[in-house]
Amino acid sequence: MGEEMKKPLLNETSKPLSEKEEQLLMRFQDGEASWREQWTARRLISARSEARDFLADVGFCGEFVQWRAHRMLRQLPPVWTLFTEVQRNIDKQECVRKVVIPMKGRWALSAEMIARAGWGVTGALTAASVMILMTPIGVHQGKREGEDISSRDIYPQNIPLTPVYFESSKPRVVGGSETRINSSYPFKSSAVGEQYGITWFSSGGKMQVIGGRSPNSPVLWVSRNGRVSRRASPTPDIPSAVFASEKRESQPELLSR
Amino acid sequence: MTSRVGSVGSVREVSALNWGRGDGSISRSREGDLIHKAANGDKDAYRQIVERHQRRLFLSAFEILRNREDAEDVVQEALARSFFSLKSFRGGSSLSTWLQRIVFNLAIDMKRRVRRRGGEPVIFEEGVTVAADSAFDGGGSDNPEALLRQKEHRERMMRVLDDLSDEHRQTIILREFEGLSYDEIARATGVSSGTVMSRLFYARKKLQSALAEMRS
Repeated sequence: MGEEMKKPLLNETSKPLSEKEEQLLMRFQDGEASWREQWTARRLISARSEARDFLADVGFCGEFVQWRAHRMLRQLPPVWTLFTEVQRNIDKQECVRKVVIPMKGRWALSAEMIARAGWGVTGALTAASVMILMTPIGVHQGKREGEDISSRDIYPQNIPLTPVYFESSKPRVVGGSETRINSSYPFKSSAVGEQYGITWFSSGGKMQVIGGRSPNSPVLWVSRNGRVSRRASPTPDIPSAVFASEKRESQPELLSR
Repeated sequence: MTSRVGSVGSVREVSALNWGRGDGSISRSREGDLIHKAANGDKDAYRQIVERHQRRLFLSAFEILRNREDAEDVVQEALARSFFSLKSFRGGSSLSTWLQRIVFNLAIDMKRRVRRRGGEPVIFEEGVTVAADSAFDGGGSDNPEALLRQKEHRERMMRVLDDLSDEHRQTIILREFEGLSYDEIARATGVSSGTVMSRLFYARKKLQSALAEMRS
């Protein structure tokens, strides 16, 4: 561009550039012009001081944008990294993905799908409390990986919806019988092999999914007002899940099925 | 050019810092190798990818959200999601463009959520002092009057840039800071190349108008 630009090919004029000419010059400056446009642009730059000024301004504005971006980035600490948080997020998502539970006769909604539907994975998994309405699933005649599955020993079939609030790793009944829910706490060893339906849960703060190592840990069935998602198989390596939460100030609402 | 508002030569030097485009430390083939490993669950490989792209992605998110914590959340989520989606990354665009697209979409979503809940944006700590190593920081002059004028010019340009819509601001940053082509910007923001050109033109004209006013 150098030598050609110095030799005016046309007489200098003081007419302002048209929008079309400015767009052409902009494309030229950005390296997006075709060879024919480049040729036209070079002629224009040689002929018109306005074109040269325009390009100078575009360049200046570009440098200003760069300066501003660097200025912002320099405000971050030198060793700033998001990887720790990213890894934590990945670990949570991996855990959630492995706790996707199949629901016999109905679509099952994984915790991940719920999270995405309502708040996004991070939103749900980093939310500060959770309310879970748990009901026994009445379709326990099926077998899971060779196990006999029955909920009758723990839950009578006519049990009402019970809102459950898990604090830390312990569940707490909200507006129900704490003794009762503790006796049927699905994540303790006596409940191994059972299936539970989580009809709905909501979150207003942080939530954590903790995987267990027992191959016989319980399976959670999750649905959202009957409108749910794809079916998936439980994975044997992290088969159990505890939905833990912290600091829920207000009483959660009981959500109907 | 440099005499019109002030010398800007040192900005190019700043661009050589390792958070500019193509950090220099990883070649394209090396990145391909890292992507392959990360797609197969290698978190150490993914850490290298994250550390290469995080600052630029943060900047993109921040330009939309104007809030550091929200921007960090968005980038974290985008990087976590992309870890699981790396297998579907076909290499049709650069990894950077692909990540930018995820961040852009998540940032726009979050901005809508923040608006819905009536959240107040928290502006980045403007009080943090930055080393005066460019013309925009007042470098190269010890004349108080000139420094004051430069500061005014800078603030005016900042305001113009801040007043642009998210899409316009994002486009000009992807072009000028990231050095993306029109096609790459189009892929990153989900619009056509024509729209990219139009947004870029509009944003530049706004900045030029501010420049012209400063001169007058």
